[in-house]
Amino acid sequence: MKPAPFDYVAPTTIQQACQVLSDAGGGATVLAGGQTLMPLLNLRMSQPFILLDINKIEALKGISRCQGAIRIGPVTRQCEALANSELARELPVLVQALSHVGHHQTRNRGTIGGSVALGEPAAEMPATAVALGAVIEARSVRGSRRIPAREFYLGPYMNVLEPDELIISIEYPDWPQGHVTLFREVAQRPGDFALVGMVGALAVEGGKIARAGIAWFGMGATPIAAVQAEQALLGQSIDGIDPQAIAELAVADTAPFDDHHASADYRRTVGRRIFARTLGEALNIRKAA
Amino acid sequence: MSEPQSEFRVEMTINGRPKAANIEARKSLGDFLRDDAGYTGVHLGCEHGVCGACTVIVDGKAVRSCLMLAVQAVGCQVTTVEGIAEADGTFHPVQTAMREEHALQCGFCTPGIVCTLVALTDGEQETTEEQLLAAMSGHICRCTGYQGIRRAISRLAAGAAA
Amino acid sequence: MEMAGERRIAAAPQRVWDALNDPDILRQCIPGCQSLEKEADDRFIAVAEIKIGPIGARFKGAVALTELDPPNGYTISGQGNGGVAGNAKGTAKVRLSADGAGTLLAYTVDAQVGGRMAQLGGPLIDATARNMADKFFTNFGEVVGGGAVAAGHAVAEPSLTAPKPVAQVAPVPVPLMPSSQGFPWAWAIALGVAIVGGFLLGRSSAAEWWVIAMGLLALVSAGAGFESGRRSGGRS
Repeated sequence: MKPAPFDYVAPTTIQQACQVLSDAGGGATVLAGGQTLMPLLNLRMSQPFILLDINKIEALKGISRCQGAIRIGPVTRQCEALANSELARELPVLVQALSHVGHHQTRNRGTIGGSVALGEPAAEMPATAVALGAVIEARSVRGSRRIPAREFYLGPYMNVLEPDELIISIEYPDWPQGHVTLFREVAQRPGDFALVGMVGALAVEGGKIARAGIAWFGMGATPIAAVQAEQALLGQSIDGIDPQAIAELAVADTAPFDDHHASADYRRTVGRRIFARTLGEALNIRKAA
Repeated sequence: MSEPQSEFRVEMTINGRPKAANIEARKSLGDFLRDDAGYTGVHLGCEHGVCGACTVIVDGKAVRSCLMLAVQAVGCQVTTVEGIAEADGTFHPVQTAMREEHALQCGFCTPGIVCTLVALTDGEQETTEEQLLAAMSGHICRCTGYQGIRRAISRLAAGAAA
Repeated sequence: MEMAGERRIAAAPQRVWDALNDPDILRQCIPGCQSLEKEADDRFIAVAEIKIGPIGARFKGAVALTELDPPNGYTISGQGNGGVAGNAKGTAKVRLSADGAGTLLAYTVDAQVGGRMAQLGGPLIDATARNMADKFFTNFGEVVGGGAVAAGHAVAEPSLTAPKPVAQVAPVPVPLMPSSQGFPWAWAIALGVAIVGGFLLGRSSAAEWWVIAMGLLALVSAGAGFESGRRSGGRS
């Protein structure tokens, strides 16, 4: 099994990479960790003219702090983010979600940016970016733009990036110390994509929800923000929240589907249950603290 | 590699020995290791990242050699199952544990499993039994050898703790 | 698969008609189109690539125009071959009518796909089509209508980004049946306006996303490789 022939290029700077994308006029495909793209190449479901390998661009790697956010370079390996102590302290739910991405061996190559860019609807990283309110910065020879993760996804594997644009960073805004984290997924085996999953964070001030960011994965054509649930939670006292009612609102925002793994009804039922349970448990832990 | 090309000269270190060849850009690391370098202990199973048989160690990390291009491994230290034992044939503790616990039958999946376990146990950080077991989710064994593999991991973890 | 729809374009019918017959304009407007050549007044040869994220295929196809009724419309039909990806054929009837200063473009499409592509599942392909159609009409409006309505990009740093003027190409809501069959890739590529327009299924329909999602799943179940891609990662 061999990929169709392509020209390979591995520039060392963002400028060079953007130039390659611009010159290729849509004929180039970006290779990050390759844990999805390489199978597609091997199966010849992807046949680019030019394979643009961004693994040699040091400026796209690493985790750093910037004004009010943690900035993750798109070529940061999933295993590196998983072992990053600052990330574990500041955005524990991101690390928790990462531990469910693929397997140890694929996380050693797979990148944060690759997963975010691909936009598999049942994957953890796109939904986490949506939930936490991440901002994706894209660069091209025409300039830069910043795209909220909530406006990034158009459909399965489809996003708003133009063919000449490259993701150069993903910024996850700060959540206050001690914020409540929400994560649960139901999958057939460890490392599989989720049948149903939810991820989120709640900031609590003076016993009330001051900020809420929650998203579903595996519940539609894209990661889906549970907007109604977020709005219902805002301003509520953590003692007065009814997790069941919030879960109802959250499921109302989804559009799941039938497949050979599970039916849409199953996904809604399980989604409602895991949402309510996860929210209830997290709030109980918070109340006890 | 700053201009798009379809053929490259690649050089890397495999099991401690330098290897250079002219190859097509589309050649996977797994194919390169088998066809050009002759390390046929690299077993290519599904060739799309599911089975784990082709796992090798690149710069200390266990990776799928079918999901990496050979051209991406230029300058890297690559270890295949042939490079795990000592030069005199003395087994690595992972190999010993797998032999003692009968953790293989047909042996097709074994090189990948050995590479994953070696990368984890030889790494700088201590690895727990739970972590070793979790990493096995990335390997498929069709001989129902999982119980033997689990015992080998328990033995490894106990040995590391002792 | 059959579908229908309407678009309003801010240019006179004659101008829209000319554009519909101009290979240069069509080539500029069809997403992924690498070449579109006029063999005769009523025949084109097209090469284009369609991408769904990293998944993509290159198509070559022949397109014929019949029932020419300038400047009121034509029937455009064609078939294309995408190699291992499969093949597609289809027909679209395009009608133009004056609408104030602009033109109302109405279309009906009938198409079939075969080969591996058909296994991908129509809905996923429909989703791509929607995306392509959107791009096509944005481009077509820009070129033909020459309007100046700002693009709807989320541009936080407009000074750095070249703003794209986009013409007033207003989708006219038409009740449509979401298709359950495959999508005419090659056709879309080759046929240009009519076909691409045809993919503009009821954009406001809530059911549409469901259908697209179904397509994703169909894709997954179709290809073992894709399945493994899912299992091993989606993790690049």
